[in-house]
Amino acid sequence: MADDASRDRGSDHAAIRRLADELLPALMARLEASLLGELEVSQDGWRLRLRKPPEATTRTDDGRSARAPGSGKPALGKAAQAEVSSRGRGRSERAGEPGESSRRVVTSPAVGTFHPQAGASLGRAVRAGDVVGHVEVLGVPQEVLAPFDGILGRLLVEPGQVVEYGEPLFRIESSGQAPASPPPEAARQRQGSGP
Amino acid sequence: MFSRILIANRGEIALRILRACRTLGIEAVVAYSEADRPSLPVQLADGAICIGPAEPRRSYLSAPALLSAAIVSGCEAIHPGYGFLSEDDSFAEMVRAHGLTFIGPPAEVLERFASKEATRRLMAAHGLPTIPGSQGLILDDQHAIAEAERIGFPVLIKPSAGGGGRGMRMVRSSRELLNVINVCRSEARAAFGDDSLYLEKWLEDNRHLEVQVVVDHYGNGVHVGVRDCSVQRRHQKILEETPTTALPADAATELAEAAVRAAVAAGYENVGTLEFLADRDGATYFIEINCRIQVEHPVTEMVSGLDLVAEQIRLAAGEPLGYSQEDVEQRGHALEFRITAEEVDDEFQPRAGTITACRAPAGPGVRWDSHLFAGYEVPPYYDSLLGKLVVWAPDRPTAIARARAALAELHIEGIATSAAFHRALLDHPTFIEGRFTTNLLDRVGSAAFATVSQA
Repeated sequence: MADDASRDRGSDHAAIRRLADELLPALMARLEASLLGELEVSQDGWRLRLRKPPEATTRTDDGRSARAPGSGKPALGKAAQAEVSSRGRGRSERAGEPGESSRRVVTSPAVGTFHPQAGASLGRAVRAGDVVGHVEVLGVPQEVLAPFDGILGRLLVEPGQVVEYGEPLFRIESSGQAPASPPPEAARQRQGSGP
Repeated sequence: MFSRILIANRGEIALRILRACRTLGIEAVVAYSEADRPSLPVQLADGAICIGPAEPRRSYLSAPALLSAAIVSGCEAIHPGYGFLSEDDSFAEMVRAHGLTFIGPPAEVLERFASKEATRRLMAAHGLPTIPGSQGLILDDQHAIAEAERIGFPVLIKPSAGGGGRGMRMVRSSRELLNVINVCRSEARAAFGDDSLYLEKWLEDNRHLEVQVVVDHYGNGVHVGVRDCSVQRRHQKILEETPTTALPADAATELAEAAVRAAVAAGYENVGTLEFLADRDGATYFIEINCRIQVEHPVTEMVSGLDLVAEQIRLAAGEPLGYSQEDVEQRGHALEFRITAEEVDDEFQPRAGTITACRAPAGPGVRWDSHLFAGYEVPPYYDSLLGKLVVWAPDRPTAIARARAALAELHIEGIATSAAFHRALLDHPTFIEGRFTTNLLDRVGSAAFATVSQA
């Protein structure tokens, strides 16, 4: 029984690794280059869905936003979507290197002048989708959204400063809310922040 | 004159614009997508600003991103390069509306020449012969067939909005026309956002010639000779040269003079190119005008000594031309080879990958315009041009000999390139004798061509 489970888990891990290392970078490149908003692929009982954010908020949020809110599907393969895709960009992050710095910053969605939201200051708890600031592009403010739930860390640029696309604006500390139905592998990610 | 310019492009042309800025003592800021962060123009420019993700629609094609980048980095003008927004009149208008200068023809000039079909009529009115074609745009299938029959098959279906061979098909019968016209429409819509098409008589065994013109805001204009771009594959230019072997020197000069006269009369401004087809008998027909710097501009620079990108910048700043036709000299012969990341044996499929080694050719008359370096990762999102090898010599046979040596020196590892195909081209009697026609490669098949000429 336990053996079966671990064997299943082992093959799932292998499958996740294969998806992350081989299939996903290619799919992401395709999606990025296309005008499509969403891409879904089924293979060997796995289903992989990539969705572009309406306007990228962080450098790494394409995988995050691919996670449908409240998609409490029990099957490992489905829940693994977000986990697998958040590795993306053709560079797989190995266990033990969770990519803390790139994953846990709010980045600028545009070129312009950055203004933090009033009250968006150090230690403030935010939910995914909360407005934490604006980037003024040709006089039009563009919202900067928190990419996930967490605690706002240090502001990395001065208010009123010119920022480029993808420039880190805030640090954001995970509040410890794990993704819905975390795959077993996600356990290592919970270490350090605590559930 | 400007003190700082935003380069709104990538790859070799971004580098080329940067070099012109250096010559003119202008600071250059490169606007780049995330995929181009490690690129050479970004490393070499005075400033660089990330404008968006790899996807062109959200970076190099995003007018707000480019304008915002220009404003926040203190630039006074934007150079669009070629492709992307280089001939987009509404972008040029937005640039002006934000108090900046678009380096190229002013918005109203771009607008006047935006429709190829209308341009053909305009230039015909100014004395340039045009290819028999449909009267106006194609309305529907019936209209297309009626017009094609009136002109006489074979005809070329062409999108009114764009260039680069997309949406273009040659058809020999009504049935063929009906088969592909919808493909042309959807290709044109996808590429240019406009699916209007027109028809042109297809000239068998034609040559592609083009006249470089330089025209200032005050109606002074010169031509800088005729380039020959007859070596093409599926309407994509592969190799260009100047002067042309298709016409005697005096006929080429006549063509160039007629072209610049018509361009000035029609109100063209800045650096531009008038494209013509020449038939078997040497009769020439105007086909379109390119309101931008072209990929193949270096061959003209090599024989004339002009810096065409610097001229674009100078004229956009409102400076007068400052010289006349007699001052424009053309000496010797120049060839340009487009070195692309393409697998020649696999239908010229573009390839992405990492350049593991790169050795540029050199020597008398050799110029290598390229953004490559060892370790550079060629991103999969953009066109496959890796560099342009340009060779000058006092005469054509010497230019070919120098080109052979330079192509042998060129060494790019880690990615498939078209360099070997160019070496094969240079050894082919049809090329050596200067008898290449635009449909030759497609007719015999490029792969077969390369194999035969290597044997």
